[in-house]
Amino acid sequence: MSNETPACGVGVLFNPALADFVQSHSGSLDYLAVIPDRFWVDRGSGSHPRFVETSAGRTVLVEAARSLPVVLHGIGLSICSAGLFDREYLSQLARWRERYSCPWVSEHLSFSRIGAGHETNAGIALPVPYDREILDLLLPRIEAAQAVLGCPFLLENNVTYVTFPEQELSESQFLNELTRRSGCSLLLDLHNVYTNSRNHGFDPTKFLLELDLSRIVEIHVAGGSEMMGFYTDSHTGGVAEDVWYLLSIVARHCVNLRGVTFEFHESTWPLLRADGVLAQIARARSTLAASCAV
Amino acid sequence: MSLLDFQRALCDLTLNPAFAGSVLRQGGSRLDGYELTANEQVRLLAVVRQPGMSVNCTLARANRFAPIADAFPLTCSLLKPHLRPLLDELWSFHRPDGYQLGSEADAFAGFLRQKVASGEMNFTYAEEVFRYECAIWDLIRLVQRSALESAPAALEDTQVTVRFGHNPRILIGCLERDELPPNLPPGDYVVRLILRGDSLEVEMAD
Repeated sequence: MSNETPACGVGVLFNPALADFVQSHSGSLDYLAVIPDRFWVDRGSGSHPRFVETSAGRTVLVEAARSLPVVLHGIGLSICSAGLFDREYLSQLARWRERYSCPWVSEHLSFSRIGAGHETNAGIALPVPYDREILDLLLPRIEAAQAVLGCPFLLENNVTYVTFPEQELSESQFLNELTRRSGCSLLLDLHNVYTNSRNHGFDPTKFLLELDLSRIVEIHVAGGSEMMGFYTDSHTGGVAEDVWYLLSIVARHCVNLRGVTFEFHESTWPLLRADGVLAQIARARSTLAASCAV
Repeated sequence: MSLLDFQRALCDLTLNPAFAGSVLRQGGSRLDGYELTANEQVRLLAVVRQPGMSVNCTLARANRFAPIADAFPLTCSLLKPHLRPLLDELWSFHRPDGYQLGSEADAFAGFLRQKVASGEMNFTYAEEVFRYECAIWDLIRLVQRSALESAPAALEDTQVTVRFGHNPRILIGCLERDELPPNLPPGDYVVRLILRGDSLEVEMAD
């Protein structure tokens, strides 16, 4: 999968439990998605050097990048933070994008960081209301991100356990307007959609059909678990059966889809192991093939 | 300022379940310290009434605890029955300052060191197990600091010794299996930690 080939591939989101798997099964993958923040220590704005790359996992990444395209899935930009837009972080993403010739870079449509200078972090990715004020905040930031990164920039739809009353737009309206006005693409996390639909009681297929699916470049699939009466996006084990169904109905409409990424939490590796991960990859391929053959 | 304060309030509510509870009980007056529009205040009051807010608070605590459990797994295992109030106390004044939550383990270590110094860490075996994991954590930090320097210090064969008042082989073995250690007779034991390249060797004398 290069920048020029539009074919849709299947990949995994790297975690430390996958180190051996990536080395021995790279032939089963079309690309490797990585959270670059797991390979560096960010010492905070204004530190010199700010980003210190760690040795852990680096060898695996460098080796994998020789045979596989690498796509970046950042977690530190906090692009929806009202008080800060971290251009240093963006530049670091751009350095990595250039180093690994990444065909695209993605981030999350949420915030966790508060305040420039001495920051506070919420500990989780928090949602923003779907208001025009947020669109106005995001549009110049996305423009800057696209210019600095020099590749497609994707934003991932959020998972949220609370909802805000009196929002000006629905989530699908917000995402459609955001992508139309900014030119950015979407990373559609189907497990986030499924989780939200379970917890907030809506029809996920209706939500998906309201989306401009031509903006979707990457899809995430995963599993979850129950906690405190909620269904959570815990990335436990294999992909939830309902998420495979959502992929089967949506994939053929995503005309610009480049990748389907399986993500799981490393603590659930014992539930999967190499055979289990290979089975998830094979299922993603067969679901894509069946969907696109319809 | 308004959106920033809305996000600041949501962040504070997420990090501090007690604050979320007081807003739930006492209403909007508890949000007076934030510059909010009427709509933003309505939204925050709606959010604290939702059960999903508890999920947010729990997930944030779990994420903050993960680096602590990674750095001090044996101490956390030993302190399990007392961990929640200890973390509540720590997190009542310490807030995470980076998205990688890198200061959480250091803050936990500093907090427990103060507890040891003030004699409040009077749980069986806790002091020696914590001292052992602090020594390991300090070596990890030493390696990390060395990597930051343009000419890294020669750390090969750096050695640290940790004294135990009970058999460390049995003590650590039990905690690694997440089992409560048995009653052990007092003694004088030395554990040697040796850095060899990227790896850490542990030598225990019986």
